[in-house]
Amino acid sequence: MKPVAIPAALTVFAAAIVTVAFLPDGQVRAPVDLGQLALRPAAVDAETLLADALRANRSTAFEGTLTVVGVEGPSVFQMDVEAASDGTRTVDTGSWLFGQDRDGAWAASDEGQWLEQAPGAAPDIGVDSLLQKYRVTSAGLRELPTGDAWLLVVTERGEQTAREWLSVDVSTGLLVRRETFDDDGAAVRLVAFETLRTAGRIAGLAPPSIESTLRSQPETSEWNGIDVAELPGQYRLIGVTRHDKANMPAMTMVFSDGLYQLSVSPIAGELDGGHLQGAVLEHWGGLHLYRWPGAEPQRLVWSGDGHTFTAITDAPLDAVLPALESFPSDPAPGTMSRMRRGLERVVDTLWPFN
Amino acid sequence: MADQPFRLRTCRSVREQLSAFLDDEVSDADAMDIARHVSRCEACAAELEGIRLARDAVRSLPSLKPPARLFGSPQKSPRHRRPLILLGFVGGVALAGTIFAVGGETGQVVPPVDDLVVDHVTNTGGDLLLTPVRVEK
Repeated sequence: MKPVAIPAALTVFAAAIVTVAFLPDGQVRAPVDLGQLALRPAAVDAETLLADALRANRSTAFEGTLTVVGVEGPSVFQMDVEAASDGTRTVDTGSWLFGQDRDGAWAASDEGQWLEQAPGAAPDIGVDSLLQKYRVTSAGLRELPTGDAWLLVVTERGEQTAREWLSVDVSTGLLVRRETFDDDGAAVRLVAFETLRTAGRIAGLAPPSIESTLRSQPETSEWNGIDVAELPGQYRLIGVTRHDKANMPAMTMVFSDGLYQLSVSPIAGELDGGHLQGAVLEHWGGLHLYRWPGAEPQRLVWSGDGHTFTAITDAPLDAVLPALESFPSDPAPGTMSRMRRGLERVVDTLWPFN
Repeated sequence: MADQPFRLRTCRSVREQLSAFLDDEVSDADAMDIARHVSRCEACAAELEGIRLARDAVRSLPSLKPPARLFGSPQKSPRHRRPLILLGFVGGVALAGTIFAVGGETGQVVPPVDDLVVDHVTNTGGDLLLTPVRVEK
């Protein structure tokens, strides 16, 4: 990972400061509205444009530098991305190299770790899945560091506040910028190409979809009596992987609502929260979870019903919370819960019939 | 992670020394490490506060010398019952302290979060822009 000096990045992203309202100290001026942009009218079919852009991102060879700005850091990170003409895609974060080709997906760390996922046969849910939950509208043309782009506004159906602004480059048709907001309309993240160079089309290859990298189709729609086929918020189970991380046999359920992805990994056993380095304990809805502020994608850990859950997601926390609340959660750690637990243990120990 | 407050001391090593820390029986360097750690670690701060509360409760009791007739007098006037009440209070505090100590978290699972992040990105990395990556190892 390549941390970038914030003043330099903010110079490059001067437009971002105005439009996404990231302030230099990482605070957010909320809410953001389209009235702050100098948009030019453009009559386009937003849904078709988005579908074409997603297709172009998988069928166009390109290389560029992608910058991620999170508001909680404040932090700016860059990574080199490349979609080669043979269909191989790589993301170089500095410490990890993620790749995807016809043989599946893989990740290699600079410390010699190697991870591989064989390709699966899951269907491409594409933009149709996104449109079931969200509506996409065109807001007009905007000027970006990479050139003119159509601005598409993604809003959850039945809601008024935009979740995402997606910018599609006019000259290449590629999705070049993504601005994410919470349910109050406050900006939470910016992902954008700082530099982008296309290199023709990827020939003779069906580009891999998100789901095709999953090792297996969902083999179950139930976990511990919980129906996980579709979690609240229309997060549908799109794949299940099994693994043995750090000698802990576990499975990971991967969900998607068409826009965001969510991985949930339950591990049998109680959580040792004291050893989660850098995490802070927070209370969201009915969940008492450990979170790493500023991390992207988000990492969330909590315990419930004798299991420790780890959730990884690119969604704003408020958007994915109802889905997470489908899983059990223990009461918040505190003096009373500690006394109750201690009393239970003393009684268990002294109870003559045990 | 952006913030690593536990770089110098682990929670386990800090908790082993909390009692000595309260008794001012650790070196100055250890005391500074522990103070820095508990100022940023909620779990260890709660542990320290629990020990401190239990100690303060016990230490706040007056020291008593039980009168000889406590055990010999058949008459139990209110004055004679006071030591029993105090002993009961001491016992209650000790029991509460024991229950508090026994009730500490004993979970053993520290999930391999970084590995699971890599898994997530590998699983869902088909759309680079729709799945931003920021993995720190």
